[in-house]
Amino acid sequence: MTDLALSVSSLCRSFGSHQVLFDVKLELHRGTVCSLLGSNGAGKTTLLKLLMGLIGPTSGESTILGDNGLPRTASSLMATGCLIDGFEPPSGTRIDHLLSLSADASANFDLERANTLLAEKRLATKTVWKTLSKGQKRWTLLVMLLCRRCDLLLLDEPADGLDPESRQQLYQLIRREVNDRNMTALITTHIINDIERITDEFCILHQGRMIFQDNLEDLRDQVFAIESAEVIEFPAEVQLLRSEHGESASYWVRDPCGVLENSVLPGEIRRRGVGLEELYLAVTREAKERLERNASMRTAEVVGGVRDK
Amino acid sequence: MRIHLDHHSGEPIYQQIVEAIKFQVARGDLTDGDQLPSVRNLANELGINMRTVVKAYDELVHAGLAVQKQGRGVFITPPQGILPKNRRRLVLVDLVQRLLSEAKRLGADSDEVVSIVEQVAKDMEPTS
Repeated sequence: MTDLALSVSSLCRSFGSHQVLFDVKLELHRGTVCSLLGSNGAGKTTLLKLLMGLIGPTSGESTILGDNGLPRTASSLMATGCLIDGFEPPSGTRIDHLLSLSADASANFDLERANTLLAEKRLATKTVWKTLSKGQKRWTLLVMLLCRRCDLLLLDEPADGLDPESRQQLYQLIRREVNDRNMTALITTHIINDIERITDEFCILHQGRMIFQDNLEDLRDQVFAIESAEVIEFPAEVQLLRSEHGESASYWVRDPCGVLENSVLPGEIRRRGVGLEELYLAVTREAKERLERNASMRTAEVVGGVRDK
Repeated sequence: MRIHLDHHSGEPIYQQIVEAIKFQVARGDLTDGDQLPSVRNLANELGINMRTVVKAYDELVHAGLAVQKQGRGVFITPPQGILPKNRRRLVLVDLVQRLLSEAKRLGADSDEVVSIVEQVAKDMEPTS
């Protein structure tokens, strides 16, 4: 079996004439936590649905745990835990019945642990589903997934509705499963600060395009924000992620070879490391402007073409 | 072991672990022969990837602050004699040069740096 828990290549998906994913590529090694970031409507949920085989691609291919067929085989679905909004057990179901269903369905299910994790939140197992709060429902579903001892977790906004303490606890639990059992997790979220702590890899989906995928620890080593009084021409080894020109110039750069490490650039005022949230904002703003520029160029060509005639 | 990580600073996590352990050694919280937590335990405690902890420990071993004993773990080395004296001076001169050039960039002169060094050294003295 390969070391890849998940791979996606040239994946496109349209709904009618509306294209949601454009040529998406993603590879994830076993034993990593990957944060999938992107604004609303970027295509994150569609990507997860494609991975689970809940919908098919328009073109391209995706593989989870070595399974690239559609529909997915029962064994790869059993080994994959997936949380996507919209799934709810019948409203009258009791929590303990849900748990015993899970235990019946999967020999790996750790019932004792599930009870402990629910008791920690003072959730009585005789409680009926419809009387739970949004956060309690979310926690119950997550506990059921985590106690299945999956090889792969695909979680769509798992932190949604959870209080800060539960969010921390959830991420800590996931991290443990990844460290101890070589599990793999792909998690979408809007709350970047929370997930940064446990993230190994992250990728950014923007308007259906995967505009960034990288290892976070490498980036901490390589990415800086530089503020300068002058316009800077960077050497070719340095990748310019974004520049903004106001009273002073701001540059977000990536320096994989360390060529800027021991030098002060002309006009340089300040240099600092960049957290994931700031990087996310810089990269998506850049991508948005690039797409807008391309769109307006296309419009200009059309207008120009009309005038020529 | 108490290590505070700043996940949003942009500084590599392994580097933060190395600095935190160095700091604890300098303060005397960790001394000769103390065993560092296992890679798995520290990774789980901090909620990070085990590879990041391995990288930090490798760096400590490389810097001569710790030794890896096969199958037993990573241990802090005796404080003296990590480096021969002339080599130690070279390392320190290099560190000071970096400190001073950074200070210059911030507009501070060497007197200010010296007074801060003295103050920080006083603060770092073991509390016992």
